[in-house]
Amino acid sequence: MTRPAYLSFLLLLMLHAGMQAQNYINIGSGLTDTRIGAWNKSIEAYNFARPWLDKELPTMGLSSNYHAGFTAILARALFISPDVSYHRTVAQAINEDFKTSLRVHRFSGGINFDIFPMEFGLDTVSFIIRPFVRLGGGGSAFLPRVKFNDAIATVNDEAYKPIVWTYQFNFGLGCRFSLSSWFDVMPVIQLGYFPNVELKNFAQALHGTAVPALENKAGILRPEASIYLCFRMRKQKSDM
Amino acid sequence: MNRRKLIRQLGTVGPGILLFPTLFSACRKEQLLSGQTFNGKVIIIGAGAAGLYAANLLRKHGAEVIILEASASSGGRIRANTTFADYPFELGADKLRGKRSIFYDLAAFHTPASLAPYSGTNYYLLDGVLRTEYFLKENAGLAGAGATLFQVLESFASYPGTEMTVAEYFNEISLEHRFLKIANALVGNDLGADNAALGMMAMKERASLSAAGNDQFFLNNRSYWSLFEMAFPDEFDLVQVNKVVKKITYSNQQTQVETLDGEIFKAARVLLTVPLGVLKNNDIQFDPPLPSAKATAIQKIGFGKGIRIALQFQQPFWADNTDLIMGGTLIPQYEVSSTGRSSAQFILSGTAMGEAAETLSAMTEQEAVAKIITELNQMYPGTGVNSKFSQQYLFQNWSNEPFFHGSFSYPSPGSEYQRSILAAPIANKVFFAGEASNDNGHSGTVNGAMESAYRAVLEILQS
Repeated sequence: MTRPAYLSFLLLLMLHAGMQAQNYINIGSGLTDTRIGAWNKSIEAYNFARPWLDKELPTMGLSSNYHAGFTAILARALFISPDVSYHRTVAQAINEDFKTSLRVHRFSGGINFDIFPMEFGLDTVSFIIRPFVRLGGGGSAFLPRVKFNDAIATVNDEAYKPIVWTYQFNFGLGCRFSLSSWFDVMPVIQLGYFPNVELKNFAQALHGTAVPALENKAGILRPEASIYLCFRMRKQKSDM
Repeated sequence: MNRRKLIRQLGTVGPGILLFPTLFSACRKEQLLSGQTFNGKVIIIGAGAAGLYAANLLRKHGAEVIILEASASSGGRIRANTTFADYPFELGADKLRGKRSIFYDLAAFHTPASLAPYSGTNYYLLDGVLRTEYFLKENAGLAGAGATLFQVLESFASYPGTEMTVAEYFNEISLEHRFLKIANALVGNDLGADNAALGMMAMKERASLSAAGNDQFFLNNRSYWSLFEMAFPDEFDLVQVNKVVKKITYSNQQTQVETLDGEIFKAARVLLTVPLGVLKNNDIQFDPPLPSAKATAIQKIGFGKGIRIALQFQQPFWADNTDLIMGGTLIPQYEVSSTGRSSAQFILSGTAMGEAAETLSAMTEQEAVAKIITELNQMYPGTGVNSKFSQQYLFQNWSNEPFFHGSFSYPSPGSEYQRSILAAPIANKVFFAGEASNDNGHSGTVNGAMESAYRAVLEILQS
């Protein structure tokens, strides 16, 4: 399946799920760990090779993430949550007359299955707590952008503006706090695995050269923690 | 709790138990470059761009460094004459090639206002008349021959054929004879030789690896070496000049460097940044001898003869916006050096490599200059080149320099993959840097020298 076809399929599936059983609309935000060794080595190489920099380019650390999606209740113990997210990592060094900035944008779309083991959970008078295991998958687009003095970096005189597509698999743990009949709060920690992300020419765009031991290619395992606010759209009999 | 329920709960909790160590391991900071150190002594041989830059990097990472320079001053093949013109005239490296490079960043950081792009017009001598690139590409009378030439320049990376020289390749694609001198100026002379001395496979390798770009820049009011003086002032104190190294012994635990005057230096590591010409000429003996693969690489990689001249004129005879004038016989590539650098002086520089350099070397300087003025007269008939020439000139023959034996390395036939062999350390004691050992497609440039120094420093830190 081609990438546009795959993405169209994913979008249709999400819309379908939302239309059929739009039990919750979710918005969320949190942090993603983007300390990706192969890429950070390029940043370190950039700093290492430019000892004159007063302020070095920081390596990539935590990025902010923003999520939006639906939750459809397939069964009492199984929710399906189509989700789109945006992750943004920024690293920049501002020296006198010389500014280096690096941004990695990631757009992800996918479907998560939240499995609620009924043996766990806590019902109180005021709220219900249900832990769950999350399994999911989808696709992501990475958009690395390097700028020097606000001009886009070049590789062989061509502006470096790649879009890198990859698949991803998610595995996580979360907990659903039902605070009222229409509102849940859902903290989730999850690992996203991207089997093969090749930021082609990333080292060249940033550092100016491909250097042995610098890899643009990486299989990435990324932890992230997010908190979702879930708004119930249709009043139904208790699902939980 | 019954057994079935327990198993179900364990099945649920299990993945979570597995998840947390993975989370922690994914969060762990990986071993990066910044923490690496070398707590030993390193002797750097050669105080050019690679040597000074490597010294700075090594010192920042714990090494004790001394630099031995054979000449009376540092700089290597970056050398400017500061008295000939009202700006520093570069006798060696004169173009900053590629915008994405360590050298470009060095200039952009320290002296952004001095960094200027070549933005004028290049002229090409075709059938005795100077033409623009646009004319060569678009003139119907040339039937696309000029366009073909410029297409070839862009397509070395995708060359599908087998080994032949660039000159043979132009013959194979039936490039008209009248374009050959232009082709030689654009390719061979630009890379330090002539087209008959360049190999297509090495050209392909070079073009495939290079990422810095083809944009060219110059410094309009300062010399290139002044950048190094600004960036690495402390490293200049480490340079010991007039130390001609004649032997490196690396069989013992300490590597020993012996100079021509009998002085002996010992260190844990030696970084050799001398020009390829010095290695080709066997000016330095190695004990034990260099591995045969490295000795072969040294011989296979081309190292060109090169001459840089400067001619001062009282008035310009060239068009206002002229950058380069290409296709001459004695001087394949002229450059209006004063453009962007001086409004009071009119200086033409000339670069001759390979056979052109040999031809000029066979003449006295006065003879060569007289013939060059005659050539310019033919290029610009009726403009009074003779009368405008102030009789002031500079003549820098790099082939006659005893510590260089030439200008810079070029992609000779059979030299593909050889630069990596040249760059490889010996016995984890002797390391190699310098433009010729650049295996990233940036050989023959200051940036290439700096990149090779960076690579060699990493090797030393990891040794």
